Amino acid sequence: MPIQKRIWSLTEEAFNSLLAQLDADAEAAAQKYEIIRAEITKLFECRGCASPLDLADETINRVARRIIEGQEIPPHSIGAYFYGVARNVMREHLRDPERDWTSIETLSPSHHPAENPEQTDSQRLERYSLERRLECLESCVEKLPPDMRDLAISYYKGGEETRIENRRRMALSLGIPLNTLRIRVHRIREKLETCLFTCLRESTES
Amino acid sequence: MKEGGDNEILTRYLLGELSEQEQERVEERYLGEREMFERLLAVEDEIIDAYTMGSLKGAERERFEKHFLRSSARRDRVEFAETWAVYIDRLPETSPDGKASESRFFNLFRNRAAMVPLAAIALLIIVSAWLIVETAWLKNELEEVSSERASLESRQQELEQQIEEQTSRNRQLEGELESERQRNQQIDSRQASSEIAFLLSSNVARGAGSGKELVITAGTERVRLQAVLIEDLHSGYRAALKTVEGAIIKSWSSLASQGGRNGRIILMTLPAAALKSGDYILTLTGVTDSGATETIDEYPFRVVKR
Repeated sequence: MPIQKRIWSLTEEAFNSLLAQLDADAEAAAQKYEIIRAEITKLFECRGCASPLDLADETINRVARRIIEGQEIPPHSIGAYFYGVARNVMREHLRDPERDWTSIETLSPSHHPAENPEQTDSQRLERYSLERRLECLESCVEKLPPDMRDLAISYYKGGEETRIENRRRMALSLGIPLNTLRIRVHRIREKLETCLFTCLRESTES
Repeated sequence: MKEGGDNEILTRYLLGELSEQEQERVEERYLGEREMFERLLAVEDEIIDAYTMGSLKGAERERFEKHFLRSSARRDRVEFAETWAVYIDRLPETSPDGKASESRFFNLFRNRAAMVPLAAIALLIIVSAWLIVETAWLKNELEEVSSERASLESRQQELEQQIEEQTSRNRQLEGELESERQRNQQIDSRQASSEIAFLLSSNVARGAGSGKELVITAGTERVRLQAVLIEDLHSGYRAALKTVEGAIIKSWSSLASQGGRNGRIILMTLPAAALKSGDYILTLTGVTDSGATETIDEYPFRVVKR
């Protein structure tokens, strides 16, 4: 797989062909591209790959290359096509003897050769002190629309026992299934995560 | 699959507990269904939260650390979950129904983003209030100025009236003054016509024998005699008017010299009726400081009555 990456890299023309294959409307195509990229990244992540983003990009590159080489992909099976290519990439990755030569930074605490998880955790905490993270998080929460903020806080407020009942009641009062509520809260949480790490990165840079 | 069943499968998938075939089935589903993918992410949140809260125990916790935390992105998510949990814990207590006990109103005040429109409204209210007060103040000021202007106009009218009255009064006074002047002129004229002055030169100066003639016309009531002194050497003077036969007509004592166009003179007045046509001699006597007397001069003159 790493050899393939070195041989062919994504060109602008190939990328545009890929987007055109996803949707005729440029905006909708870009949106679909982001979703597919997130799904494939998650797939590699769940399969325990250390660099899921790199593998996801390799998958996209291969699909784009096949499209520009004339491969026809029916619109309804685009997801399946991506999945097929992703599985090939994953197999190659698992066979690659260099696959474990990942950066120490990307290793999980239990796989770190020199440090135990507790030490790594403390290092991470040192990197961004809790108060600094809370300060950033508070500013991110304040940027949310009030209804989103109230929903997220209410969803997580209370002890472990009361949370289940509380969430059930929230879903009931909103008239939505509990899973839909979970997804809604996840979207808010995703915004907060992005905002928090952007804030921390900016504060470190400055 | 039902919600609960799906979530259990997804949890096991995320922890790497499914077989290859089971994993493929899950992956095929979430790569084709947007909702399934979002549900996977939501379940992932719950696993992370459970780990953060310490409720993931035993083999699950081990699987989580060995399998789940392999990617740095997931470790970042755990870091976020830890921060989020502390943030939620530090928030004020909630009511039993799970809703924040603080009212939305106070939440708005805690929210800086929401404070922006509130601050704008507050600023608008302050500016409006200030404008109202300012307008009222200016209106009041304008009324005061108008009132003052009216007062000044009224005062100006009063003054103009007073000036007019004063002018009229002046005209009246000028008229009265003119009338008085004319009356005085008439009196002076009448006096002038009723009194006659007669200048008598020194007998020494004019030489003996040359008398003067005093013509007294009808209507003349008084005669004023003015005897000119050659030298004014005495502190006081006396005079006596006699006929050439020596009969005294009138005498004057305690006379004093005074200045006139003709030098130092002695002034004497007598009724015109006391004189008749004929020759007279006025004898002037000087009185020294010691009280001694000496005749200074004699002034002969002739009276002609017509």
